[in-house]
Amino acid sequence: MVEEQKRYIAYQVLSQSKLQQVDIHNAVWHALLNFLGELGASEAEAWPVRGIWDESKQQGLVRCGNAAIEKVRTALALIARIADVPVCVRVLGVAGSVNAAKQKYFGERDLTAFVK
Amino acid sequence: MSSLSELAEQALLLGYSGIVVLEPWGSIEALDRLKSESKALKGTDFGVFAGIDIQPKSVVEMSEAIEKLKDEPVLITVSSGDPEVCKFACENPRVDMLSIQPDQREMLGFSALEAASRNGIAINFCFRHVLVALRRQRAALLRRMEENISAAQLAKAPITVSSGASSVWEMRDPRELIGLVNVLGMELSHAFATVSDIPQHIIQKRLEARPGGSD
Repeated sequence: MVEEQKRYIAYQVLSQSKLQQVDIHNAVWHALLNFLGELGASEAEAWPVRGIWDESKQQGLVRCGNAAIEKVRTALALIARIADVPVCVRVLGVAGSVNAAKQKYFGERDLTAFVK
Repeated sequence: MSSLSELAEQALLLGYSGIVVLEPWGSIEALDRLKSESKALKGTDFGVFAGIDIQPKSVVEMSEAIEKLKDEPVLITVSSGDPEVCKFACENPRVDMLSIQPDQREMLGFSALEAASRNGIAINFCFRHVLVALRRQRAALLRRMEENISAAQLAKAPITVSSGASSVWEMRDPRELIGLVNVLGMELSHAFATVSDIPQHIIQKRLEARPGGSD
């Protein structure tokens, strides 16, 4: 069986007040399960990545299969409230690996960025 | 509810190059207020266009409203779930957009969609309807939207998708709107046009054609 390529969707939560990571994480799971269903979420291999989180910008990552990018993107966009706070969830972009996502969307740099 | 300037600011942040602000049709005074507010935001690269949303209960009510607005430099949209009203809206070339409503029980007829294609009337799908619906309602709504998108594509009627936001927290990135119609069966390459080329074409064609032009 050929394994489907994974993609990492970087998202940002815009809100009036600061939100806890655990609330956002739960809301993302809730949205994926509501929109895709349990079977759909497993087929999409959708999984919010817990260890990567920018608290100041409220940015995180969701992993999914290549074919399910648009479905996961739509599921994230359908999050209207988190912890009773109205929010706007926007997808910053898609990357093929965690490191690429960190460099493109979380502002991380490695030593190659300093090579002239 | 957010003010026009707040909506424009959020839209700019999310990547829009312009927005159409729709006011429900009620009176000429409300229309004048909307026009003066949108004029105040002109002069920047960001386009703000005024529009009137007619929510008629009957064909007669719709025709009377369009008659009063025919010379106004605004976009005219009709929002209705009544198949008879939708059919007459698609046959009236002064209508710019027909917005599908959540309470619509029957699919749009093929003859109505052909008329919309002939008259250049866009069939609009509102993201906000999906956002506020829950569970069974949302499932039924998505099913109807999918059927209408398929029928509109078959009839070659232009399709647009809007955020339908009344506050800044209901606005979504245009790429998310594209994702929604793609998930409902539209090819991704065609889906991009629903938030870019088609709305731009409607604005240019309608606002420049009316007396008063695009001021």
